[in-house]
Amino acid sequence: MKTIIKFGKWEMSAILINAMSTKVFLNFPRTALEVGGTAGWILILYVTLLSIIGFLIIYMLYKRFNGKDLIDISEYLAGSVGRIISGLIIITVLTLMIIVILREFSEDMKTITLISSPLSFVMIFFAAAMAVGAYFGIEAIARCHVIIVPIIVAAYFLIIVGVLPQSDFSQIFPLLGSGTDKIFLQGTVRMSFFAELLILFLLTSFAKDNKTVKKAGIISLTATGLFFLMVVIVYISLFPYPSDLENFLPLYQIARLIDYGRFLQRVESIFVLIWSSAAFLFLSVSFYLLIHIFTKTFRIKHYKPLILPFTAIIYALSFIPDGLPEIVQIDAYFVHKYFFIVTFIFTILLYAAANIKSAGRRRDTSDA
Amino acid sequence: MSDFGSLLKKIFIYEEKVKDEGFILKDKASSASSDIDTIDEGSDDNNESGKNSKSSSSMQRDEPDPQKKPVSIDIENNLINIKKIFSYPDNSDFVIRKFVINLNSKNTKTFVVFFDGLVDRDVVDRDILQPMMVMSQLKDVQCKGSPVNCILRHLLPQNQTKLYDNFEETVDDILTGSCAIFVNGSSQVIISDVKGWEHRNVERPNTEMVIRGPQEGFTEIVRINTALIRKIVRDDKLIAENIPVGKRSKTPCTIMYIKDIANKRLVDEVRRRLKSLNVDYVIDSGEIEQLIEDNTFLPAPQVLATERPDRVASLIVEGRVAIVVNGSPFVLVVPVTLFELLRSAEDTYIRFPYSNFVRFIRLFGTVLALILPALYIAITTFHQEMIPTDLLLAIENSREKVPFPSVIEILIMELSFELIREAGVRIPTPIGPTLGIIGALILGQAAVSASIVSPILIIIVALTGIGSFAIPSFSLSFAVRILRFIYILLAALAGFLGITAGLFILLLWLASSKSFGVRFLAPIAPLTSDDLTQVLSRAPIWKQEMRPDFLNTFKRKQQAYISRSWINRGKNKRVR
Repeated sequence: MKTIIKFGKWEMSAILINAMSTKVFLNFPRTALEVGGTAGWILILYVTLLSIIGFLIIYMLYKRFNGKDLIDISEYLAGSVGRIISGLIIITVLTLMIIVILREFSEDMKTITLISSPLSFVMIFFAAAMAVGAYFGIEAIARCHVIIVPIIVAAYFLIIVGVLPQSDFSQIFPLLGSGTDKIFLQGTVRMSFFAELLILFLLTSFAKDNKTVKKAGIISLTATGLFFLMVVIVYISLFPYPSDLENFLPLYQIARLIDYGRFLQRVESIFVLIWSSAAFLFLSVSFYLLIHIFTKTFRIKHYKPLILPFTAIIYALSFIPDGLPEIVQIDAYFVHKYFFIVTFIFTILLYAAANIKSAGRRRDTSDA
Repeated sequence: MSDFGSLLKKIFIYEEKVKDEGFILKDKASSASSDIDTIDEGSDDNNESGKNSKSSSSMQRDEPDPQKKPVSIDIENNLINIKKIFSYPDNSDFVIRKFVINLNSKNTKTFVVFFDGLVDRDVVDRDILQPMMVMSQLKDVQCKGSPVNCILRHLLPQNQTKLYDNFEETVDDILTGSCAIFVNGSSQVIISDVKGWEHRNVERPNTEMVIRGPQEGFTEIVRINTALIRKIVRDDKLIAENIPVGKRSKTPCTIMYIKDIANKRLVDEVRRRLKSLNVDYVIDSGEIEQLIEDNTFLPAPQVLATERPDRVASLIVEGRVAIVVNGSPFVLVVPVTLFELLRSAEDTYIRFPYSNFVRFIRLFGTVLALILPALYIAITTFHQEMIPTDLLLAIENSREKVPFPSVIEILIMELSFELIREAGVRIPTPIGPTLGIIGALILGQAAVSASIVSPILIIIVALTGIGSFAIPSFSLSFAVRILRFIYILLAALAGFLGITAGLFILLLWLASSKSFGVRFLAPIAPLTSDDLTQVLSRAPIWKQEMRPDFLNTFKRKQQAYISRSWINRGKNKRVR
C-alpha cells in the first residue's frame, strides 16, 4: 500500500519561500539593480504584485482540478503525448534550475572559503545532500524545511538589522532609477524572479486541499517579495550605485559589514552555514521533483533507483559552463529572465485549456 | 635407586608428550558419537554402546515431547514425565517431595515439585507441606469431586493458586518460581505461587539522579516494577498485560497503559511486536528495545529506557505504553520523540523558570557535545577570519610547538577521552581514582607540556565531555559521541560546508524516522502548534492542558483550562 503524503500550508509555504528566496544569497540583488537602477526596489514591488496576480489567475483556473498537478492536467488534455511533452518541458526547466544553483553555490563557496579545494570536490557536498534528500523523500524534505527555513529567515534578518546603522537611504535616489519603461515594461519579464513558483503546481498532489495551495502561494509570494524588497533597499543604501553593480555576492558583502562590537566583527562565515542550508533545501526539493516528474511522465514505478544516475548526470552537466561569469550570466539573463513563460504563461494556458475541455464535457453531458 | 634411574632417563632421553586431552568439540552430537566410535575402534563393547546411543537417539526422535502431554490421572505417569522434563536427578536444584495425604478417609499419593532457590522454602513448608501432610491427618476431610478441588477448598491456605491440565503451562510456572502439586486420581495440577528468589531491593536510581523528586528506582523483578508504577498512577484503568517473550526463556514482560487514554492502535502495535518476537532467550530490556525498534541504524534511540518509576508514570498518563521486562531495572516507554529524550524527570518537579533554564543548558550541552570539536576544526582550518585577532594570536601561540594538524590533535584527544570513559565504566571501584589521575595528569597536563596537544584543545575536549554528560538519555549520549567523530572529519574536509551537509543529512534522517508510528521530530516536524511550547522550553504547569497531539490519545485534555480554580474567586468562571 502506498503511503499518502499530505502537507499543510506551513510545509508548503516553507518549501516555496526557500525555493524562491535562495537566489537572495547569490547575485539577485545585483541583477535587480542592473535592471531597475536605484529603483530596483520598485521593480521588486511591481513584479511581486504581478506574480501574485498571476498566481491568483492560475489558482482560479486550478480550483476545479483539486490535487491535479501539471502532468495530470497535460494528460487530461492530450493523453500520453501531452503528458510526455509537458513532462519534458518541466524536466528541462528543473534540470536547468538545479544546474545553475548547484554550480553557482559551489563556485561561490570555493571562492569564499574553500579556496584551495577543487570545484569538483566542493560540488560533491551539494550533490550528496541533494541525492540524500531525494532518497529520504518529499515528506522528510518538507519537514526539514519547516525546521530550517525559520532559522534561515532569522539569520537573514540578523544580517539586515546588523548593517542598518551603516545604511544611507538617500542613495535610493533618483527614485525612478533606470526609468519607468525599464521598470514597468522591460521589467515585466522579471516575474521570473518567482519562477520557482512552478514547484507549487508540481506539489499540488501533496497539498491537503485547495485552500492549502492558495494560502501557501500567497504567503510564499508575499514573504519572498518582502525579503527581496528588504535586501534590495539595504543593498542600495549600503554601497554607492556603481559599486552595487560590481559586487560579487551582494548579501555576502552586506554580511561582511556587520559589526556587533569589537569581538563580533567577522561573522560572515556563519553566513556560510545558512547559505549552504538554503542551497541544500532547494537542491533536494527540486531534485526530488525532477525525479518524481520523470517517473510520472514515463510511468516508472520506483524512483529510488533513479537517484544515483540522475545525480551523476546533474553533476556532470553542471561542469558545462566555463566558469562563474558564464553561470551567473545563464542565471540572470536566461533562467530568471525567461522562465516566467513556463511558470506563469504555460501553467495558465494548461489550466485554461483544461477548464475549457472540462466545461465542454459538462455541456455535452447535460445536452445528452 | 630406580627413582634415580628414571630421573636420569627423564633428563637425558626425549619422550614425545602424550596428548591427554582427547576431547574435540564437534558441531553435532551424532558426529561426536561416531568420532568416539573411531577412536575406540576394536572394542566391541564400545561399538555396541555406539549402536545403542544411535538407537536411543532415534528412539528419542520418535517419542513425543513430554511437555506436550496432558496431565495424567495416574500420578506415576506424571512423576516419570516430570523427571524426564527436568532431567531429574541430573538437575541438582530440582526438588521432588513425595508424601501421602488423607482425603475421604483414604491415603492419596501426592508429590510437589519446585526449584530450590526460586521458591520461598518457609512458605512451601508452612503453607503447603504442613497443611497437606499434618492437617489432612488430623481432620478427616470429606468432599466430593476432584481431589485437587478438595485440596484447594480445605487444605491449601494460599492466595495465588491456579489449576492446569497440561505440562507446558505447568513447566513455565515451575520455572518462574511456582510449586506444582500433583495428586493421584486427578488430571489437573495445582500451581501455587511461592516465588521467593533473592533480589535487589528498591534503591536509588544509578543513572538518573535528581535533586527534587522521588528517589526510587526500578529493580530486576517485574512485579515489583509494575507495583512501583501502579503505586504512582493509581488509576483503575491502568492495565498491566503480561506477554512472555522468548521461546525458551519465556521472560515475563508486562505492557502497561491506561485503557481510556492510550491509543488502542498503539497498544495493539506494541503487543503485536512483542508477541511476534521469535527468539530463544531474552535477558534484558535492552535486547527487547533492539528487537522492537523501528530503525536499527538510526543513531538516536527510538525507545526510552528509564529506571525511574515516576518518569514512566508521567509518560503513561500522557498516553504512552511502558514495557516492563523481568530481569531489567530499565523500563521501556514508547513512542518517544527526540525532544522527550532531552528531558529529565526533574523538569516537571522544579519551578517553571528553573526548568526552562536547565532545559536550555542541556540543549546547549548537547550542541556542544555534537559539534564543538568540529567547529574548532572548521574555524582553525578554513575560517580563521572569524576569530578575533587577539584570540587568534593566543590560539596560534599555543599551537606553535604542536607538531600535528588540528584534526589529528583533536582525534587523539577525543579518542583518549572516550578510552578513559570506557575504562572508567569497567574499572573496579578501589582503583577508580587511579584512572582520574591518569586522565587528568597524563592526558591533560603532560600532553600539553610535551607539546603533543595545545591547551586550548584540552578546553575544547573538556567542554565537549561535560556537554555529553548533560544529555539526560544514556543512549542519546552514545549517538552524540559517535556522530561527533563524523562531524570532525566533515569539518576537516570542508569546514562549515561539511558540518552543514552533515547536519542536513542527519536532520533528513531524523525527520524520516518514526518511533511506533510517531515522527521522531514531532511536534516540530510534523508541525503541531499546540505542542510547540513544550518542545525545547516548558510551559507553566497550569498551562499544560493538553496531552501531546502526536500521540493521538483517546482523551487529549489532561487538565481543566483553568486548573488553578482558586484564581477565579469572586469572578465569573471562564469556560472554554
